Amino acid sequence: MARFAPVLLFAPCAFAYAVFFIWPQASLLAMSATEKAGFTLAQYERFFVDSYYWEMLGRTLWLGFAVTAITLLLGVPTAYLLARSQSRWASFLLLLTTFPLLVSAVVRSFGWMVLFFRDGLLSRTLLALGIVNHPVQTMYTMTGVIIALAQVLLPLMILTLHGVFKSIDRDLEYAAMSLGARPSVALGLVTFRLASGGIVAGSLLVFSLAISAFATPSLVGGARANVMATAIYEQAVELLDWPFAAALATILLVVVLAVSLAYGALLEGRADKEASR
Amino acid sequence: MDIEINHLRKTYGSAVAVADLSVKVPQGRMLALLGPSGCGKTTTLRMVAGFIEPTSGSIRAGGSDITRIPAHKRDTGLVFQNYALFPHMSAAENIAFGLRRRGVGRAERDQRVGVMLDKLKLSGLADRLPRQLSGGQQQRVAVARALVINPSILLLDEPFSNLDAKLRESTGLEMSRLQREFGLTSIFVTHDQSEAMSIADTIAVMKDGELQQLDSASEIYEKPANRFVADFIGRANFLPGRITGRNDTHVSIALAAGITVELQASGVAGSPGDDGEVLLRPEAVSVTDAGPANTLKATVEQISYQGSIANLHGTLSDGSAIVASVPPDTLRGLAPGDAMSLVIRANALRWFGRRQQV
Repeated sequence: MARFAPVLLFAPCAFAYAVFFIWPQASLLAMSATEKAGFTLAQYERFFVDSYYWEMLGRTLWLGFAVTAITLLLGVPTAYLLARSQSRWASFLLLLTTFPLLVSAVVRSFGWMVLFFRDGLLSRTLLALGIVNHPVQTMYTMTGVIIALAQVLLPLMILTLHGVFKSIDRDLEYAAMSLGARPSVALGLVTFRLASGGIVAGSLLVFSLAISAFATPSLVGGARANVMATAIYEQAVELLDWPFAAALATILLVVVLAVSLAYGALLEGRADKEASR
Repeated sequence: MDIEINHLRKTYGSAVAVADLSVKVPQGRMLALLGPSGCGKTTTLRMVAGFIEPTSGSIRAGGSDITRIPAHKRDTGLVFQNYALFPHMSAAENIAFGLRRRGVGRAERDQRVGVMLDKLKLSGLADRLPRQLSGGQQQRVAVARALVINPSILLLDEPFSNLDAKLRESTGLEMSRLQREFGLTSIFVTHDQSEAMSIADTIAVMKDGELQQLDSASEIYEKPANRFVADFIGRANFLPGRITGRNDTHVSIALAAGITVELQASGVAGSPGDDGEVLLRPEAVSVTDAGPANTLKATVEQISYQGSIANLHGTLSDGSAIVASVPPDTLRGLAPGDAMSLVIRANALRWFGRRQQV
């Protein structure tokens, strides 16, 4: 019995994965590559010969990279300070950073819409400060989508990184300093090196959520900031072109996987080189 | 390089971690900061290492003020309680870390790391990661890493507390040998009095951020400054009593247990009528034949046999407990419930008046 216990414990999750993830994905793949006559790559051809779709894929990846970069830039110092703080306010502040997660992405995106419109708060503030001399429209631009999505996903980055930094003993930094490493070097050679796995995990989480995000791009971006997720929705729900929607979904999945593997390998490789230097 | 700590103070808000500490450690000597957890010993060590900035006071090393010098510019090697080895680096890389930061070239680096590996009996383990090493081996890597940079000051934060009892003693002696060999001035933090007594030249006993006593091991054991020190260092019996007489040379104290003892007047602050307690170390008590005057009458409660000695737990006539550490062959077949007579060595007694018992 004991020998089968691990299998039994895995079974429910494996079953749910198979039924609700692998099977639908496989059917999508099948749907994208079949027509009445049988196997076809027509849907993929349609995508790859049209520069409109290439641009859209490029825009989607740009959104993913930009949002990941912004959340890393803002998340790493915040998570590090929260993890290292001895103050009893630290846990309260961490809770506060996660509060936005309790609000739906749709509601948060509406919030950004209020700020981004031509006569919204952002535009009026910039005018009042004299930074611009006519109203700016951030609504329906990629910039707007990137800012809004970065805000939506930042809590996830901070939570992931906070756990990672918390698990790294501060004495390791002190040890490096006592051996002659200035604080920034100690941080780089020890703390960030040890956190690299977690930084990869957080980045991949944010990246994959960013390029598959639907609510924020469609509300803040609209038609001008069309990305893969909104295009899939359009094809499947509005145009009822399921095979093409399935092809788009498959392309998105392959790109996410490829980028994830490449990014992971890149960071791991760099870290190894640093450690042996 | 000698270390001089002057009126060092560290507070966190209203909490006082270190109250007002002044200690000197001469070149080549080892000072132990000894006390229960929360006494401020680790905070003090971390201020010397440069990780914590003192609220006030100064730290001088070799005559120059290092109070505001950042940690990485201080000439200190540090061994942490949990060793703090870099988990992603091999034993050899851990040891080489400090040399690399100092820009030591590869050839010299390899040679110096090799010497340290040899010296600490780590040859053959150079390529292991910390998690592939035993606790004792990790501890030796941590020591090697701290010593290879030739610091003039060595700081040890409870370096033996994660080792088993047998390893602890041999590592302690090894540590003190290395410290002498390298001529290091050293500060060593511990809560274990036997560790402190066995390897430190001087012991600073601390409690609640305050220095209680600064002395050699034997002075602290034999002439504890107060009841806390007496109780914290070694085992102690405290027998309640009252001063009944005093002349130029001696003080007579009547113990509640029924006998009167005479103490050297110089060691007793107090006048007839004062209540207090007499400190009696367990090894200053021995079992004797019933009969002679001035023996303590007690009932045997329990005998715990320790090999070279036996701890005899008993109850005195006034109901207070007493422990005697005696050679097992002097037990004379005593068993729990038996009556026994105990003699005490009067020159081993110390008096603590009521007022002192803070």
